[in-house]
Amino acid sequence: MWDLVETTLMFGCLYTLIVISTWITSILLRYDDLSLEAAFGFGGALQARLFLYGFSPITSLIIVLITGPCVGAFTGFLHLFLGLNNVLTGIIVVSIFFSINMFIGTVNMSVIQYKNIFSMLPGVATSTATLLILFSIALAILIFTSWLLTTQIGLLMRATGSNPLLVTHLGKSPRRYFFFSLMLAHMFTALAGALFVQHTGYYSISSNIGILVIALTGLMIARSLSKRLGIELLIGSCAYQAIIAFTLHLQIDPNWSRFITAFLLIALISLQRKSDAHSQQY
Amino acid sequence: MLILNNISVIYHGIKALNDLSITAYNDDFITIIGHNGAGKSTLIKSIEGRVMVDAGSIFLDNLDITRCTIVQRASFISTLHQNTKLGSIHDMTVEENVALALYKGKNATLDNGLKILEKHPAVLAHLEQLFPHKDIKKEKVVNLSGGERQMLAFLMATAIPPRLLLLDEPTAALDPAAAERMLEFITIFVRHHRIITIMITHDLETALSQGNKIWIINHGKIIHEINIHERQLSVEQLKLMMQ
Repeated sequence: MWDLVETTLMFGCLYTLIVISTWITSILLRYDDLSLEAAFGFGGALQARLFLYGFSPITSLIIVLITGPCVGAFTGFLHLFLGLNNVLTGIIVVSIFFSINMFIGTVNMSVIQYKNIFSMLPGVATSTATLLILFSIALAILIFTSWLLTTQIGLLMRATGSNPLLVTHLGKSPRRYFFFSLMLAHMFTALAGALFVQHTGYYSISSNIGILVIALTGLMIARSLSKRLGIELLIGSCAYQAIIAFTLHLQIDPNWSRFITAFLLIALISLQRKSDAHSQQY
Repeated sequence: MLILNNISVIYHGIKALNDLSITAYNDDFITIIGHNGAGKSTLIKSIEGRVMVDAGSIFLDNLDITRCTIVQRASFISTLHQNTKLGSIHDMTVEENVALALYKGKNATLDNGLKILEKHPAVLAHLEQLFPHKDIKKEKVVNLSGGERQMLAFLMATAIPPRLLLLDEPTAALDPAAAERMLEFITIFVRHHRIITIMITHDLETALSQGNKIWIINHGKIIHEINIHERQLSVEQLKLMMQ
């Protein structure tokens, strides 16, 4: 039973990074970004390739952190400079990065034989170390993002999503802050992709499929607790993983997990809409 | 001094501004009146930089700003819109909004966003003056009334006093008492800081009572420039002049 709880928490912490990314794009920028899926795959593919080239787990994560924002920059370029809407931008970015990820990481790659960051804590069982490290990373990114949003740049990021015209009246380019926020979100998601490969020891071209639904459901659960950016995102992500683990525990066919997720998402969105409408009425 | 030299703006083949030339001098408080579609908003947007002129030039204090973007012009031009939601960020607190306004003309950094308020006690004092009956700093803008939001938007537009203030029907969405209070604050502020001010209004009483000049616009041209202090006019006479 503890194994199930541990696995749930591990994936909960790992997917928190994508929940934070989704919070940045969907809540902060009011831009529902489908291309986050591409960033997750890109991070994973690059991580697998870097292992193959002999890079250490830490160095390869740093490289992913540096290159991950490129996916966000490309998304921003298509949306802001070519004027494509978010759906079209998402479809194009995911298509392009399918080929790029295939080139970098092929269809699938096993990297289980390489040393990863979770086996670097001496004297600690791997599963405990994995949980500790993933929790620390998720918490660190949460704290970093919360802090960033209290800075001058952070206030302008928030203003950009809410009222870009006002940002121009302040003599600032909303495009710059939109770009920066997108790059930040894609960096976190690419990092999640790399950590996923390090954790599972396996890369697959299809590992990013459905990742957005997981993130969105985690985000919706978090927002039913609180609207702010905080520990709720971590709780939401873990709660969602717990629900999936519970369905597996009930021996429901795993093929139905996405179906259950989608229904959960619909239910959460409907409940939230109802509660918003109620609060608006009064 | 603001000089508009033969400016034209064409929308889908129709001239919204037609070879318009006029000058606003330092200390001028001008009200623009005209029928719907006369070109009032296009004129304001052209000066603001939201619309680029197709012909002509715009000079502000001898600086050619014709090709400057809206972001570049924001360093010396502030605008207040009639939509009370456009002048502030509704999901942020009042103090966060005021802090944002103070970043104007400066590079945003990773310093705490609210720290800048400590360096501008006069702006905080002005905030207290605008909202004397409650401590509003921690209040979210979404919880403010339309009048309060517009007051805040005015404070934000003038926190760093601009060279030119553009007001696009700033009191249109306010009740009479709030509108009167708002206009009073605007008048006192722009006189004190000697800001060139151009305000669009549909209220002819307001046009006659505020400022020192009236521009009547029709078919994209200024058809009359009236100095209120030199010529006493009634609302009826003003209506006739608008024809």
